[in-house]
Amino acid sequence: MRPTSEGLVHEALFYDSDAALLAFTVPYLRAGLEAGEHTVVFAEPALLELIGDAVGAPALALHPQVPADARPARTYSVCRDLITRQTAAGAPRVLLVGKPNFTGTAAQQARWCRFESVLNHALDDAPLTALCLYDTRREDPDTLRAGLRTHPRIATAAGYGPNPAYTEPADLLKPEPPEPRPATPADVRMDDVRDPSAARRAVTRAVLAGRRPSEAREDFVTALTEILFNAARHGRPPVDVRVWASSASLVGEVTDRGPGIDDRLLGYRPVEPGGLATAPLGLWLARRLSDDLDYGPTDEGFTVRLRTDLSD
Amino acid sequence: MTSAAAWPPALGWHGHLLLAHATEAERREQLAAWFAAGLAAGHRVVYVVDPTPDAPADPLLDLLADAGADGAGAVAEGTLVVLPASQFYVDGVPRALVAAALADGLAGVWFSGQASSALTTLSLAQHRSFERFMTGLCAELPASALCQYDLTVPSEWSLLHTLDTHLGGGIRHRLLRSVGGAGRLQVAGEVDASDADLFGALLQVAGEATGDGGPAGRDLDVDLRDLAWISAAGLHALAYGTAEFCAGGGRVTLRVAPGSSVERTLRLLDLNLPPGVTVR
Repeated sequence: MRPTSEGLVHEALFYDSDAALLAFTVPYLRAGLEAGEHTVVFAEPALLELIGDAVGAPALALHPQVPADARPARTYSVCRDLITRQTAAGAPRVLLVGKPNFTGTAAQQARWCRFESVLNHALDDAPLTALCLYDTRREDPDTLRAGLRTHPRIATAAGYGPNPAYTEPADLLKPEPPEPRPATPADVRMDDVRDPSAARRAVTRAVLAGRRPSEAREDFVTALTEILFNAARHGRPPVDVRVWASSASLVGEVTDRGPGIDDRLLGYRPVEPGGLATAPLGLWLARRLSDDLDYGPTDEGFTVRLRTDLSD
Repeated sequence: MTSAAAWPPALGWHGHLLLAHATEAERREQLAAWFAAGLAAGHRVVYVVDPTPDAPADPLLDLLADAGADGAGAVAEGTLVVLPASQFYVDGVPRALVAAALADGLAGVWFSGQASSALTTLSLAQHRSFERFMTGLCAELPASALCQYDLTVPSEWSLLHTLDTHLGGGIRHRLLRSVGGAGRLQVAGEVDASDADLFGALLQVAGEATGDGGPAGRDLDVDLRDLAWISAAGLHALAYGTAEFCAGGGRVTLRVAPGSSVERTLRLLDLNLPPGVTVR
């Protein structure tokens, strides 16, 4: 029933009743356990209990969902680390069955939809089977549509197999300019930055000065600085920096006059064990230290815009 | 090397130090601060210059004037002495200069010169030998030395060879300061793309300095608690700077300030750190 693969198997189950959910997932999970796979369910407590009781196997690991406001890009690394640990311990594969957390804001839901698409790229060679659960009674239509486009295989009441609606992540994330910049004047405006180290200190002062230490604010500065150094190294001058700081978010943008980045998926793939010295870490870090990061051509050149939500 | 009891020492201007600079502005800024600190501490400053006729005059006096310091007055008072390299790199001279300063009632001597000027009178081997002598002199007598090294000029002797004779005193760079001890290294400041190579080289040299006979079973304790920030370039440097030491069986412990940006960045890498490297 389950497809065999040495790399990623990424599937979605669309169900409209608990009976339909259990009819598919219980044998699916038992097959993983029998194959010696490290088998995990991650979902809200009621669903964990429902599935856990039905499978009735002590080896089945039950984990709570990743919070809705977590940074999806970090989850690829969490998965990669889990796979590294479990395969080192002897498991042939890792089997994850669960629910992406779509309970947050519209922006957070959109991030998790994007996460589902990019997973097909970021972990494409990982010995991982991931079955994502979509409750058609509860999820909103946009989330369900996204689920249909982001899973190469699906199971529905109509059958189980390859998904004709699946769209490759590189096609789904088409090159496009970043979301419009905030309408208010920028709080930090630096044109033709020649010294990225000095620019970082100026941004740090603007974002952190006079405030309690804040992980989100510090991470924003680190992420923006990585983009700035990338622009200084790979882009074409002049390099301009803007930051908008409000009580709800920090938005930063870096614009250079070079051709920019073609690859929409750069920086998502986790660093391979032992690959730290040569991995392209700048965008990798920036994606993991911000909530949204997008880039594309604009009227002024090539712009990278990133955003961090604030709760302080 | 610094004694265990004093660890970590203040990252000031004492000891046998390397001023690593990429621009003239960086060099001048650090040199002015060093000069002011030396005079304030009651030392005589001995500044060694390139003796070649066509070399531009070292702009120390201009630099001091720019920094608001009275270089000419210091020369007149005898607290600043400018010496050509040919008169300084001579057996017995540095030690005699310290003795003379003490005899004049001064606290000691702070020496400085550009590494390139040393090679106008010394061979590479003689220069390395002289550097080791200065490390001993700074430990034995009330003397400090600030060797100026231009990171941008391709040199006959490598950065690694320059660092290994300045590991104990450490590096002074506009972003990064260090001090070393037996199996220990403290790094403070920031590591971004502009000083990542320096950081990587420092780690490599510190690993090599843990002892003769290869790194197997040796430990290197790297104190990053005063490091305010590390970039992607710094992470690359961390990987290649520790690669040879760890591949040979050495172990590196990175000490980070709990909750700091550096800790969070390193924790993101988790299993991607090179084998043998742990974060505490």
